[in-house]
Amino acid sequence: MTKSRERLTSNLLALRDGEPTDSADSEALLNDPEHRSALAKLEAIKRSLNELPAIDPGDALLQQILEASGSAPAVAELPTQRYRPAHVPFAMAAGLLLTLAITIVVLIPGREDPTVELSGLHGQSGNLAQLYARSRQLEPLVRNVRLARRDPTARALLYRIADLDAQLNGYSDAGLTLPDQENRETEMRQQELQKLWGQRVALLESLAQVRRTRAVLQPAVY
Amino acid sequence: MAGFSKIALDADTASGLKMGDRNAQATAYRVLGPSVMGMAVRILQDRSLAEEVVQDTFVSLIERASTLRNSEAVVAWIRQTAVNHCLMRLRSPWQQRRSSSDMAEELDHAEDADRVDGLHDLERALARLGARTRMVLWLHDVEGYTHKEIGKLFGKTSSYSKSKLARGYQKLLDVYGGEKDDEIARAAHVESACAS
Repeated sequence: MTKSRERLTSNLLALRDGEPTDSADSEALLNDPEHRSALAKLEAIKRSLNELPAIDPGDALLQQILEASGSAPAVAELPTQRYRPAHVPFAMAAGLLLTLAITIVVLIPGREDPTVELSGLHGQSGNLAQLYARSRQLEPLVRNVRLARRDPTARALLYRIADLDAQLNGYSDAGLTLPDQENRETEMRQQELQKLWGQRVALLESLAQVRRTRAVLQPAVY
Repeated sequence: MAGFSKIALDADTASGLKMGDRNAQATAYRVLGPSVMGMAVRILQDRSLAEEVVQDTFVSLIERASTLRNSEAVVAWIRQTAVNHCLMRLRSPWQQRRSSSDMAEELDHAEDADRVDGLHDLERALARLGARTRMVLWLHDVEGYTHKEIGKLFGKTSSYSKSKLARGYQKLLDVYGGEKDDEIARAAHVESACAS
């Protein structure tokens, strides 16, 4: 019943969009008032979809984009003929000193970082819900293409995260990660899932650390 | 109008983008950003994820603009990149947990619908579909992708796209079709009045 309804809708959609259909089928469909009415509804919905307004993302996001892209001032605004080679050695020396100083500060073990709330999660520990929440919180890092392009450590971490994602997707495909099924999971599988998510969070935390280090070093690099 | 097909970017902006001109970048964002945001909000039903899509798409544009030939290429590239970013988010593990393909269609997405402010009735109906179904529907009906293109995007055949579209419309007809009945009846009434 459901299949035949799906097939009928599919045929009506093909008719609506001028896509190939069996001509006998389409004639039969068009001769039936009920199907003609359904076709009119499908057309109306498509029209309404196309009339939905665009959504202005706002200028605040533009500012973030320009900052994230490290967008230099417009070419026209760039100074021309102002290159002073004599300043380069001093600038490089200052940059190197600053880089060194910041690297030492950043890499001191046990240094507290105000930007990250570890919430008591240390890689493998923490319950599944906490791990999901923390993973979601850090998720935007995975899509930081610029970071991956610039930093080999970040790239390596992202590859490892992708491997874990493939394993987690395997669980998802097997239907093991849906909330309503969690109760039915065996304890062993639950532990395995927790381990995988724990590893994912740990990798994301490392990625966050790499990003913060780069963000601090960035001014010195430029 | 949310679709990209109605948008044109002028040649000056396209050439400015190529040169890394900040004003051109801002113009491109203001012209194309609303369509990227519109598509991402409708597909992902999550404003913060949609903003991420906009951000990632335009950061990539700024980085890649020098390789794009003309304004048409910019619009096409932006659309494809935004689609890829949406798809990437749909594939992330926690997103799959939220709306796991077919099963999600059986779930009540009323909570999701409330996430986006000021939803139109049709948008509420869209929010009740599974994320992949929504994406197929949007790409086919608004962006004009063919079933073959959509199937390829998902790593499946065109039948997958046809089936998702048909199922999506069945749901839309169930939750939204009633309102369309009234509209169609009104239109028919006006037509017959004009004819007489």
